[in-house]
Amino acid sequence: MKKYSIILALLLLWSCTNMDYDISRGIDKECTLFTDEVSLPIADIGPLSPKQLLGEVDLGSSLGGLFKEDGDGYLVVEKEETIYSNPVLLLFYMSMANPTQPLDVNIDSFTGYPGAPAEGPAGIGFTPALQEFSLYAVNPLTEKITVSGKVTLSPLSSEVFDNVSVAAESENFELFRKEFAGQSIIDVCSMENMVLHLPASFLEKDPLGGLSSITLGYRYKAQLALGTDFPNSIPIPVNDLDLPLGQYRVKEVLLSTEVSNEIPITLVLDSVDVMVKETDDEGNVKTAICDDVSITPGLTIASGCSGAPVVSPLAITIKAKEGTIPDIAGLQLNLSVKAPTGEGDKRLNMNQAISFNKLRATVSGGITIQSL
Amino acid sequence: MKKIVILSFVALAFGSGAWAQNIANPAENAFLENGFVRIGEVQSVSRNNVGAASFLFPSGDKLVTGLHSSISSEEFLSGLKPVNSKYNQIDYNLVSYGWKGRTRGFHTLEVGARVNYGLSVPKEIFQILKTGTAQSPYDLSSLRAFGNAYGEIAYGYSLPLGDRFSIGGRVKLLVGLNSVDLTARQFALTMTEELYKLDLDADIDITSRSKKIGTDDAGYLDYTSFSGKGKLGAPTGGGLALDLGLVWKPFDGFSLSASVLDAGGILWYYGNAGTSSGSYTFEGLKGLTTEEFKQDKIMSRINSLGEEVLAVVKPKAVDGRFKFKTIPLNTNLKASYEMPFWKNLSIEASGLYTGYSYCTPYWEARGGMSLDFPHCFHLGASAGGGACGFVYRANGSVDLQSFRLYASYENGIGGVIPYEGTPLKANNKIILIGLVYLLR
Repeated sequence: MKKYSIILALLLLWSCTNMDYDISRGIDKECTLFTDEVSLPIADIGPLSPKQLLGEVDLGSSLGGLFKEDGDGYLVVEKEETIYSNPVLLLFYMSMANPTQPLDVNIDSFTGYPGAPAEGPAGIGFTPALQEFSLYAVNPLTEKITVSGKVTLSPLSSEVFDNVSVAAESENFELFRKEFAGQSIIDVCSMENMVLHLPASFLEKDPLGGLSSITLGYRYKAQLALGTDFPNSIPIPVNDLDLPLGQYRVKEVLLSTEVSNEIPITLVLDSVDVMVKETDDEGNVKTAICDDVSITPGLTIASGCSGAPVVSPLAITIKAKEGTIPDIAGLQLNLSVKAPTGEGDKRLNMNQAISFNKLRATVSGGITIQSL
Repeated sequence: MKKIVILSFVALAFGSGAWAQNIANPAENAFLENGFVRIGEVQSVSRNNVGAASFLFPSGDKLVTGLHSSISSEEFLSGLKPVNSKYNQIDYNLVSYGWKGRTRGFHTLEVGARVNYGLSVPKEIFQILKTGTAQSPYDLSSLRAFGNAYGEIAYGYSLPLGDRFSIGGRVKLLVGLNSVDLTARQFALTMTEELYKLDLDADIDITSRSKKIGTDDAGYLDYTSFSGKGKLGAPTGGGLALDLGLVWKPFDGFSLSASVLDAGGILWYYGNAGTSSGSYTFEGLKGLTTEEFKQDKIMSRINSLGEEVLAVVKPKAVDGRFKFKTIPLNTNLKASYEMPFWKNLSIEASGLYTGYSYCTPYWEARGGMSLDFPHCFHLGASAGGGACGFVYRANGSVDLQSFRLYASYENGIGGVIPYEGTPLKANNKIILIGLVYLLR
């Protein structure tokens, strides 16, 4: 029995070995997920039209003062100005001295600036795809009248006309019409030596016509195409982004998309600077360019035209040169607008679309979180 | 502390694994000289084919998880199994009565209950988390969760055939109490930069013994809504299982035994049945316009996507259904040899295979020795390896007049925390304790 007791005691001794453990103590629960790469489809953005984009940045109203859309959505400059307008009754008083004789009325020289808005705001270069200029007259009399004078459409042409008839009771009689395709903008129009030839006793047949006015005016319409004269680079700041990427210790993000563009401009992303917040020695927080993060520059979105979009694959790599991508406070984009490339209509239509299809992201090197 | 108590008990209390109801070869009863009454045997089984050592790694002077950046993908993933299973089982033998028949046979009558539950997680889930989506597509259909509770009423009969051979069998009537089973016929996940695609065809089955799960307006199971009286209700399943065994003693001191236990299953009626079926493809938010760039509208779109995914994932209520599920099947093989120079000392070799319909199978092979002093005490120890790695066992019994108290403790090796030296939880563990009144 003693022998058995010894055996039991040995077993007891062995079983008293401390085998307690607490695996939750001292374990670093930080996890880095997707260490090779993780890809994620994000979105198809668009189609976005210039009308939507301009509306979003509230440029629509300011541009609306300069440009208009025609029925098909094309961007045009339209202008209509009255050169001369005088009530018939007033003219009749002028003829009272010799009412049986025709009356010639000299019209003051006039200068207008029909195409000036097409020079564009901030120097954006538009060129006219098609310009239409017409001179019209309103003749409320029951007899025809004639008009003489000279019209200069600078810098394209000048027209002299002599005794051009304006039919009786016409409300919109076209005296003169010119169309110019692909030429310089008519930025100035001037009318000189304009004379209105009225018949004798022009109120006798229709005394009530004296209440109306004889009017001369011009109408101008230019369909706009994009030119070649664009500013070198347009800085576009994206402030207050505040992307807290630092905590995730991301090393590289690839954003890729296919841009389908109908808008007849070529966009080039010359450079992108990543802005981070820094604290100086005095404790002041300021935003500065981060040199440790690079973003692929030189991305080009090729120009297209209505009905014939051009697809440009884009791949933007955001990469930490050393370490990981920090918290991003903002971005500084430098964008260049280039002349349209390729064949096709270069007119700018407010319904032309740009779409960012198959926008997707691939994160390489892992995403770190404190614990699952 | 718990471990100390258990091991102390193993050392003090004693028994033979052969007494345990669920692992006993029914043919071994044939050699019993007297009957017995057993009360309240409890056995707890825990088997995980991966342990904490597969998820915890040293890194410098600290311990990190396999998802830490300092642990390579190969180091972490190579320690995982294609299907990582956690299985637990509790067996409770309420009462057993064994008696010697008028002829040579030995009869047993046993009443007990068994609960098992577990979870199987495919390696691909950890692969996605660790390495990302580069190796898409993924087959996650081995993801499974289950739980079963059922009662057993067993009658056994064993018969010696001569002095060296015996056979035995046990018939078990299985009474289903409750069952939960989540299983996927198809669970495919494609994750590329072009699209995320989910193809799902899965069943969730819950017995409705006492309460019925409600449905929402769209017909999906609503786990917050129940109907029913909350009483125990009727059994929700029924079945049969069979144990068969034989013992052969070709010469003095040497015995071979083999058994097949729990061959059978339960036909469950799942009154709360649901099916998640469908396909969902996400190719990014479509047609985003400038008007939708605002955060609330983006979130609205994302929420909408979430609802579309839920429409595929959420189980839609279907009519109650019957399903036959096998219970874990055990096959055992054991050889024992008494030392000629000291009959009290025996050496043993044994093998075990357990097949689960819910998770990966378990197997082991081991060798051991035992000290047997009849009418006094029995001590045994064995060690070996198997599906969950190294495993060892200590078991014993002690006779106190007509009572025999027996216990068994079986454990594996779960690795050791580096620098600290403390062991991690083992992958496999069995604790058994029981009391028998020996009829003289």
